[in-house]
Amino acid sequence: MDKRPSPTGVVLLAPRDVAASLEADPTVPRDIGGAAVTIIAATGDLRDEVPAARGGRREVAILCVASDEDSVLVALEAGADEALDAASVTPTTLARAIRRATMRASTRLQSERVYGSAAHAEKLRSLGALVAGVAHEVNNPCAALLLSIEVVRRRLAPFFDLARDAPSPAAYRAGLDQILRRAETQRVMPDMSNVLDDMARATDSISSIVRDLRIFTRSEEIEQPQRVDVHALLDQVVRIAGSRISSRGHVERDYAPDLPPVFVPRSRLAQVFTNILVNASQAIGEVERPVHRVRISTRADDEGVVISVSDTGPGIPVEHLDRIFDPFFTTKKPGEGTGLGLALSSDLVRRMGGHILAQSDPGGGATFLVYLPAAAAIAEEDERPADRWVPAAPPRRRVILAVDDDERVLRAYARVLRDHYDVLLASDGQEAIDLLRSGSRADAVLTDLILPEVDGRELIAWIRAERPELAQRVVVATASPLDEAEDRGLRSRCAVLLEKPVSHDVLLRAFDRVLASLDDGLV
Amino acid sequence: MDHRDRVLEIVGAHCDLAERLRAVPPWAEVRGVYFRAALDELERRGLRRRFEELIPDSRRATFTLYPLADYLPWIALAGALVASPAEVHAGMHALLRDNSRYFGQSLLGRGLLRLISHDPNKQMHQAVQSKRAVTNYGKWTVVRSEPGLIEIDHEDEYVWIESALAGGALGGLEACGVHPTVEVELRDAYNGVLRFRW
Repeated sequence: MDKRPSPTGVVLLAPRDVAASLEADPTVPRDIGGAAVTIIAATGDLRDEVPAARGGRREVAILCVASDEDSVLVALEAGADEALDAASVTPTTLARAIRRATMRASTRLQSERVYGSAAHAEKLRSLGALVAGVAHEVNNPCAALLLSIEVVRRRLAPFFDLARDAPSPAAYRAGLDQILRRAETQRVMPDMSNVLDDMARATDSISSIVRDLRIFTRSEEIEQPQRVDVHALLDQVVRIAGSRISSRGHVERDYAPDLPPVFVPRSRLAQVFTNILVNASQAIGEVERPVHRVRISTRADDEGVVISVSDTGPGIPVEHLDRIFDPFFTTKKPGEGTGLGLALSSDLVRRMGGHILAQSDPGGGATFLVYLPAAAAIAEEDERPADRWVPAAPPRRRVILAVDDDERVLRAYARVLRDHYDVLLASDGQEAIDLLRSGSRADAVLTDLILPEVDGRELIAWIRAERPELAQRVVVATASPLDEAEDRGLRSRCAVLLEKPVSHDVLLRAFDRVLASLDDGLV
Repeated sequence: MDHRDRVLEIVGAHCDLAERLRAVPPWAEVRGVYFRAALDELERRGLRRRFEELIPDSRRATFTLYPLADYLPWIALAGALVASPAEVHAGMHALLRDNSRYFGQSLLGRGLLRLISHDPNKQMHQAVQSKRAVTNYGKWTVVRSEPGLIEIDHEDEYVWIESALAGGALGGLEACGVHPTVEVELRDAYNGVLRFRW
């Protein structure tokens, strides 16, 4: 069994006058079992002084001599291992307090070690949950690569055969001419070029998956906070964890424009997002719906950034909401979860200076909300020295907000459009308005006319009044018969009017046309 | 004199703030979004500067938990400024009634958008559930919910149920397009039922 860890030093934090007298007092021990005792004068608020005295060194025991009983509580709350009132300091009480501080630090270090092992096991578990998805993502380009290699091998076989069998250089040259003429007639070269392009694309896919997986490989000991682009990280995690969701539902990326970066350990944040998304993918497997949605929203204000993940699973029973962040609390079947995923996520987010909350609509789904402070300007500068290469951000995909009260139609829209665009789904006009009002970015809107509560006409009117730049990119798809005047009026208020049922090609052509003005930079 | 004493001087004779401050458990906390909502409403009414003369350190982060013992004088002073010290309850009622607008625009509200409903009963269920996310004390429970009626029980609630919280709930319901009447049944100062009919 492991020996219980001992603190490597003891910091004695005391008000300036008390610190001076302790320094001068020969009865104050200077060494406890090989751990040096350092006396530091506290000059300000203990809420700041205690963490500053620790300075990130978990292995140091902190004993705080506080000016009064209230400050004793403040010191303990701020993370001191032990605290005592200055009025009660005698050589005996101080020696005992130092002993208590080292014992508590030792217990704390032991529990952190156990928790660290459990955290590592949980990380492996969540990675295990992703393996099937990753295997699928890697296997597809691998299959394409293998087939392409076979095509290339067959195309090149005559060259290899000739090189091996030609009896003389002259026969080799003649044979080569013949092969090249035949290749030209059969248009082999352009075909080869396409095959090589396919191979390059397949290799790119595999290497990007491997690159995405590297976000999980850093150990906490060596990973320092860094400037993190939340959207890029979410995209990486969705590529890894998203296939579990895509097989059951639709991932909506509801990203706020111009989200500020955060300053956190990147792989830790990836672990948090992975835990939440794996949970969401499991939740949507628990109930049948025409279309399941997992919406990842980001929003920011002058303080920080909020990332919320909403699913359309069964939701979390109200009586469980208070406990879901407790270690080892789980409602999953044995073997399906350790009950540590959310506890760890909560702990990691707290260490990043953030908060994690859970809310639920029982029967309708759960929302996990992660708040992180925005990266301070100084931290950004530290992270980005002038000569450091920063990769260009990938071009952003256009976002289409699709509105229909028939979930089967929404599912079909998502399937047709998601290869080309990011797709947000709304079940009625009010939900669409709420999304746009809350800061969702939409480059175009696809809406039905007959909708509950706020119908399509009201939605168009709202867009024309509140988002005039979007009004010229509204596509209406309706099954309602329109008389000539209605038809004319509607056509003047939207970009394209389509009659349901709408075919795959017609829908894509409509958005090609509507979004062309944006792509040309005309809007 | 700290800000609690200053607020007590202003409203102490018109509400039971002093008793509440003694009753509040020291660990009871509430997220900054509540403080900010009140401040936003004062700003909208042109009263923020006056408020900050009396409570100068008014910066609060949306998600951080702050002592409930700081929030009570905060809304009492805000209420006194909105109405008058003698009408502090009416002021708190009006202040929180308008807070749903701020909540919808806040980072917390925008993050929980999927759960915000325009159905009055659903909206109140969510508000009751969000209690545990924004405070760490007390308990709210929906005891009756049917079309045109919702009844919410409050246990160990140190914010004024009959004025401030009744106003907050009314504002949430009005945002759903209904205009209810309120019945208050207090068992004592910190426990009781709010019943809304529309």
